[in-house]
Amino acid sequence: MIPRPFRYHRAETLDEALKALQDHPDTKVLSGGHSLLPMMKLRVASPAGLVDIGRIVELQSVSAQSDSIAIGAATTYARVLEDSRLSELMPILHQAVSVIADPQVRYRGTVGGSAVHADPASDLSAVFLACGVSFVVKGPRGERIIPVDEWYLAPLVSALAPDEILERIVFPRPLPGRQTYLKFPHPASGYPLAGVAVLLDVDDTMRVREVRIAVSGAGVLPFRALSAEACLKGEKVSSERIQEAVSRGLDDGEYTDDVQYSAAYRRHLAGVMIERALIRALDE
Amino acid sequence: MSGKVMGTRVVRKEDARLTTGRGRYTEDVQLPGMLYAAMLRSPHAHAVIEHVDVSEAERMPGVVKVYTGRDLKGRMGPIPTAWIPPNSDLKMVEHPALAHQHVRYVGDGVAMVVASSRSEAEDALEAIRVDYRPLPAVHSPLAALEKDAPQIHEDAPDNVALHWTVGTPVEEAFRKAEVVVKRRFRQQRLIPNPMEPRSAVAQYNASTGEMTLWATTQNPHIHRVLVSGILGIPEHKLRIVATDVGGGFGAKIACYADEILAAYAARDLERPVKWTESRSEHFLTTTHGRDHVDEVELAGTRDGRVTALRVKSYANLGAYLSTAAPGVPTILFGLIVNGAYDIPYASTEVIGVFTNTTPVDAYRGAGRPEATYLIERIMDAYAQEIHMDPVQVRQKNLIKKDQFPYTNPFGLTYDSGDYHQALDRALAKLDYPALRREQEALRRQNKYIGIGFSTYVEMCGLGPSEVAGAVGFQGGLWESALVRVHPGGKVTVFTGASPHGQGEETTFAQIVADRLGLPMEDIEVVHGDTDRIAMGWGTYGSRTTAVGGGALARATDRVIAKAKTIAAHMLEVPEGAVEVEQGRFHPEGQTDRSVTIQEVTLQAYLAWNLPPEVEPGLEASAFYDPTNFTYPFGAHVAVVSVDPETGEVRLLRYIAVDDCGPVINPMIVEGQIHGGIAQGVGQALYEGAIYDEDGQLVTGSFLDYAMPKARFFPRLELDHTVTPSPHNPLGVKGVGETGTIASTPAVVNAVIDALAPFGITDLEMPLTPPRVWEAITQSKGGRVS
Repeated sequence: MIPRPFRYHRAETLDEALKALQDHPDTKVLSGGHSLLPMMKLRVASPAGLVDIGRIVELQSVSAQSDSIAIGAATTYARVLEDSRLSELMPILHQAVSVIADPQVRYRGTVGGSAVHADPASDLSAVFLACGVSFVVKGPRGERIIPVDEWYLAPLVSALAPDEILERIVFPRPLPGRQTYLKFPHPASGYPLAGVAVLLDVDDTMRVREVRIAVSGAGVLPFRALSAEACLKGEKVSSERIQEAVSRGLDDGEYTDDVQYSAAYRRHLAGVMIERALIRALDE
Repeated sequence: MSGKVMGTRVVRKEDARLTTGRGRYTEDVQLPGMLYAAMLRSPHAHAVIEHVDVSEAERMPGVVKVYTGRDLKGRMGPIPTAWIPPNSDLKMVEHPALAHQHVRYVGDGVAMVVASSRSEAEDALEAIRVDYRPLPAVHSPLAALEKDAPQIHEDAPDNVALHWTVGTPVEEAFRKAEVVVKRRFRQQRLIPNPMEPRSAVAQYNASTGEMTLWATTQNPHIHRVLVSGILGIPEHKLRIVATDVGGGFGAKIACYADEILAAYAARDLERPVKWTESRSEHFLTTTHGRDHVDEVELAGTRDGRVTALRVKSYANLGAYLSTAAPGVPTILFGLIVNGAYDIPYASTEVIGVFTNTTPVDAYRGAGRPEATYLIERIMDAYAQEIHMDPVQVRQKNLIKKDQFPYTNPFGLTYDSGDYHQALDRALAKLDYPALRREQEALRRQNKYIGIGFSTYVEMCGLGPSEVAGAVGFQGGLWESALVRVHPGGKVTVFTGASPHGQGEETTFAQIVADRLGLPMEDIEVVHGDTDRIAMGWGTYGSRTTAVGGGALARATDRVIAKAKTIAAHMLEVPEGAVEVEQGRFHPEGQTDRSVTIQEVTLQAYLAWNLPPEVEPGLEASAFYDPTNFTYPFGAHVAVVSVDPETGEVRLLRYIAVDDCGPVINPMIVEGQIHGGIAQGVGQALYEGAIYDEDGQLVTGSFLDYAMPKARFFPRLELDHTVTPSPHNPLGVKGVGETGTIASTPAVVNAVIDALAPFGITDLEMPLTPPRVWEAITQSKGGRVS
């Protein structure tokens, strides 16, 4: 449980961090350290060096524009929870962050760290997908803006290149007003076995104007349940319609299978949680 | 003078130290020039070691020495087993501290690196080259018994470690039975996970030949005997220290290879050596618990009388015999499978099996949870078979108050009890009829709650040494206490028990405080150091207060007797004409004239004017050997809800009525029950070690192995009855394991009760959401894959 020897560099600015990445091959970016450090302790990951971005102030800013909200990548979960403006503008972010792990982890773990680690069972992945965020990354080739649909490439693999650093995550505005994140946690790890983010707008006659549904935890990758959304959009909400949407939406995912939680169970559970999240969003 | 403290919620004396980080755990020990050991562990469940090359590791920075199994062969004794059940044909297979030829489980030690720092030691592990020739592995007890199963030890044909039978003939009762209920229960494997991992620090003084070993053990004196034998260090030159130990739950009873190796290296290198396991190593190498397959048959009448019980168990002992392992699925299990019921005929057959898994040994309850599970589950199955309420079946078969002392079919004598009263208390708290009506109403809305009972009894307070000998435990089970009143009137208590979280620094002080009439702060309880305590047998089997407390009560009374003699002399009244009340000695019926315990003590030490024949000083010791085990009992009730869509089980209510005899400190007793229930519920709903086909531990971290968490629990509703044990000085019965023993079947019974509308009659633990969902889905003819 002790990492192999590694070089440590604390960067004061994003440019300094980018330069360190370029100057030293096999260097990883350290943010909150709650995914990378355990992997290093288990010697599953053994980078030659770490560049610590945890104290770079420019990566911790939260700014709201009329058409977007940008959250700095090194913003801790705790900071997100403390930001009442964020909770008001995006209740779903607050809901999801508040059920990540435990207070100790939330105090260290960062929003950008979660995105870059690209764990398919991260609570935030469903929120990012449902909200349709963009990831603004900086690197030696300049700035890239990567839409969330192109972000999660494989389990633990994001679209970020090794010499790039995630600068901020941009949430578009306005988002549908009814927002719910519902999670069925793994009893051991606390990660979602199925975490469902729902953004919903209905008109006065309960016809669906807009709906986004995304699932974390259950799948090999986090996914948007696009078929479920298509089934609901423009339709009047009824329990039959919801069930139909759920059964279609489940085909949008490819499910993780392990000795304790089979793919069949995860698929089923994702369906139950989508249905419950939709009903909760409607009840709001 | 202080008021009475026995029976009151005295705040734990040890908490100030432990909760502010000022405890002195083994890992806290830092010595000048100390080296660090790290173990290379087998990645294979079963393999032949062809070749080990340590040359590169030896050249790594900071490395002082690398040891392999071959280096140590013949230089130290094997890791021993200290429990040999009679007539069990136990196969005492060799367990080398480091494997030199075969590795038999993932985690088996292959080499040890000793280096200047822990990180250098761990880096060097990666430079050791081992050529393994993998062999087929087997991890389940039944598969290991199959004809073509891999052979794990040459000396144990068919992987049978032991075969033991006990009880009365049951065949006739089964032939005549109106009803026979059969079940096969799986006791899954559990991983104890105390907060503190195992650790050892060894320091050797080459000029005197003295060794001090700080170690995470529940029984330092047993360790002294074993380590002395393995390393050839005589007992008077060997000191074992285990003052602060962060929980054990049975997993720190055993003598482990790692601490022996650290001590060996310290002597060899003449420098202190520390070794501490990582949590990952804990999962792999610290003993696991349970892991049985239990085949159970119950014979009974149609009107609810159980007439006989037959149990055949397959117990997975792992790759080697851990220290107490053979006694756990035999003596601590097989003798009490009839539980709290008056069953005329019962028999137990146990087959202990070697597998390519981590050795299995005691885990909180050790054998008694397994026994309680099978009897409490089959009582429910029987009730269902004869269409009788599970409470009624229990009431019909519970041993009655006037039957005590009750001798069970295996020859155990249950000391005292009122089992019906405990159950009645629980039912009253529950409002059982109302809850059954609610259950019916909810079922009509497709909502499912269940009510589960466990009317348990267990044997603890281990135990009479004569019985220890008769059942093959290679030690005594008495306990020692020394009460030393210092000249100024303060008291040091030395106990041979070795509490490691149970709070006896407080409860033992309470015992002494009241008897001597001294305030709590004047009494210090010393434990866990073989140089300060002459002898003792440690803390396990809920024995500390029943046996160690018994010794302490006797020693204290001896101090008082001597003090009375001196006080009578000081008061110039005849001996025997002195009364003591709250630390004051006065002539009988004459309270206006008195001397205090402090004044008496000072006289005892000054010795200027002692009665004839009375020696100076004021201290007394006692070696108390109980005449029987103690038998705590009670009634636990779980109320659960099952979400039929997700399969999730939630605990709605939990009622525990326990009888552990007189309660010394209600807060500490409740804490023990809370923790015990949490661990028992952990087995019912969450925990379970899983090996894959290659013998790799799949649940090797907290990511996969689910420990019970506070948020899984409602407020636990506790109550007590008090039936003193007639045979120990305090009447106490032990409470460290009752919660774990009772709660597992209560919860499973509740879940099965909830699932009755689906026709589900049994499920394998842990009752995880997918397992429950699959059962519900299959009951409706649905697909689960």
